[in-house]
Amino acid sequence: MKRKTKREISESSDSESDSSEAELQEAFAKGLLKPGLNIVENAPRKFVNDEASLKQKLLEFQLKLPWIERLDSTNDPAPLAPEMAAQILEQEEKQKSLRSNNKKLPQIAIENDPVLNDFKREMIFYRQAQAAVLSSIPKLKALKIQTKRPDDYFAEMAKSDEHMQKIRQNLMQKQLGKERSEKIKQLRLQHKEGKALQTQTKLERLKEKKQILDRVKKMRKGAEKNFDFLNQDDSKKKGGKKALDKRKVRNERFGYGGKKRGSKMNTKESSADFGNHRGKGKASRPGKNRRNNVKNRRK
Amino acid sequence: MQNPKAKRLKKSTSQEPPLKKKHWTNKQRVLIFCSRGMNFRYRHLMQDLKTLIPHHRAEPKMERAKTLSIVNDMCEVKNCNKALMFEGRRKLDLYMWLSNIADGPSVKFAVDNIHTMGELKLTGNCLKGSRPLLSFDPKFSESPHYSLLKELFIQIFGVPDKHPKSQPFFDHVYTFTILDDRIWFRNFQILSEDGALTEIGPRFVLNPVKIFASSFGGLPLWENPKYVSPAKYRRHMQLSLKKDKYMSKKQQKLRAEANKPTKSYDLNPLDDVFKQLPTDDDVVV
Repeated sequence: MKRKTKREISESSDSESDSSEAELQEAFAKGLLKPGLNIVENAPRKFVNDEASLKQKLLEFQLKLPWIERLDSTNDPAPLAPEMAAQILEQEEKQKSLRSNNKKLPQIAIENDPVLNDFKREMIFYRQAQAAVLSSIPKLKALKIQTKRPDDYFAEMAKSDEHMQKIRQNLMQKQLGKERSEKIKQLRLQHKEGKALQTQTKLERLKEKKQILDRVKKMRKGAEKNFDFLNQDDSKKKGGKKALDKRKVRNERFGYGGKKRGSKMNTKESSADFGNHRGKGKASRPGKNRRNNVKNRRK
Repeated sequence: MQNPKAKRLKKSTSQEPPLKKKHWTNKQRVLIFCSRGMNFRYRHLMQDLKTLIPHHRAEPKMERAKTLSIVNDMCEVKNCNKALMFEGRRKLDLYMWLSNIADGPSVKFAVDNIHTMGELKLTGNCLKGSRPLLSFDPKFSESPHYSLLKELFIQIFGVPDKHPKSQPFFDHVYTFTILDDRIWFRNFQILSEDGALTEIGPRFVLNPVKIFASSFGGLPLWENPKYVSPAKYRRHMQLSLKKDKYMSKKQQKLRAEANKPTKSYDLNPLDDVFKQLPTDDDVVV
């Protein structure tokens, strides 16, 4: 019994394959088959778009209510405000400079820039909302409906106070970060400029020295008779006003040349002087909070 | 003489204003719920919509059912005439159903690019339950399926006038914009009435898949020819990556073969003449 069924199955499959083969042979004879892989192609899927029923359905379930119940408006984006246009321009320039300063970033044309695309897209939504506000609020006012919430009207908000606090903190942090990075940038620039100035003065001094040495050499050989360059005023070379003042004070205190012996000995006046000479003393250390603040400011 | 007790009662009744209920005519109720298989972000989005739609009813999450038509019964039990249902797949993809219960139509959307109201960069805020202004792209009136969607959006997202849980002021706008064959949703706070806005959130993009004639079933009225399911898209991306990997491997091999040097080093054949000790055979007598 079992064997029989098996045979039956094999026969049936045989006959099937025979028929398909015959079909293929026929197709080949007609020249429909080309050499290579032959894949069965499905007919392209048809997508439903029943416009008549769609319209019918819309009529069926549409609510016939006054505008105040619906509050809808259809509007194109509002015209671009000049400050917004400026903002867009600013963004574009920022992105451009970012790219030009960092060659590691992918170099994309401004119009294909995904960041700017995002910005522009959001701008379209924003302007559409703006147009809706500008058209709907006067309509509401014409219906004599109060639109603005009075300042003393308090009710539950969509976002909790806690969450709004978080948002504010986040904004502040971002602002602080921006300021800090700006400060660091400026410091770096100053450092760079200072360094350049330093090297320049160093080179100048070397040049001057060389000139003087050259002239001294010439003088020795008797080519130069004018010795004025040796007695040039050195005052501008030796530090600033601060350094000079310091020197002056020290000269007063410790003397400039002259006898030093006995200068530290007590005299009649000094031993009679009971004045309090303790001076200002050490500045007290500021508290931890203040110290941290100062540290942060420096960063 | 009037009874003083009755007088007091009368006074108390006159104090509470029954005005609100009198004017509340547009009685829309939206059942907002989800099926299993949502991740946290999608759940948050649903929560946001619940805070923004005061005329909603909640429902615990639904087991995955074979037919969605049971949703109609659920809505009937809850006395709702609209449904907003989220359907998560693989904790990755989100679908949103909007439906007008009983007579239809219903729409299925794939939802992408979701930002919830909890995100810190969305800085606006509005009264809970205040009525939004609805702003639509002009493209919504260009084709019948979009105008049908517009009506559905108005009925579901628009808060009915004088709804008891709503607020009487207008401090936010929803925008529905068609871009790239998708519907982009944004929610802005009105800072001032001359057009200064900030975004409140949530943000999402609806990719319409299919519109059905009745609620959660019935004949399809429209199908999106450009829709590719997210799973299919991911598979396609993976396959193309794999294909690229295979091709690059092959090319690399060919390049290596082509650039392989034929000799490793320029050797002088006489270099090792003195390095080997002479053997007996080398010695010539």
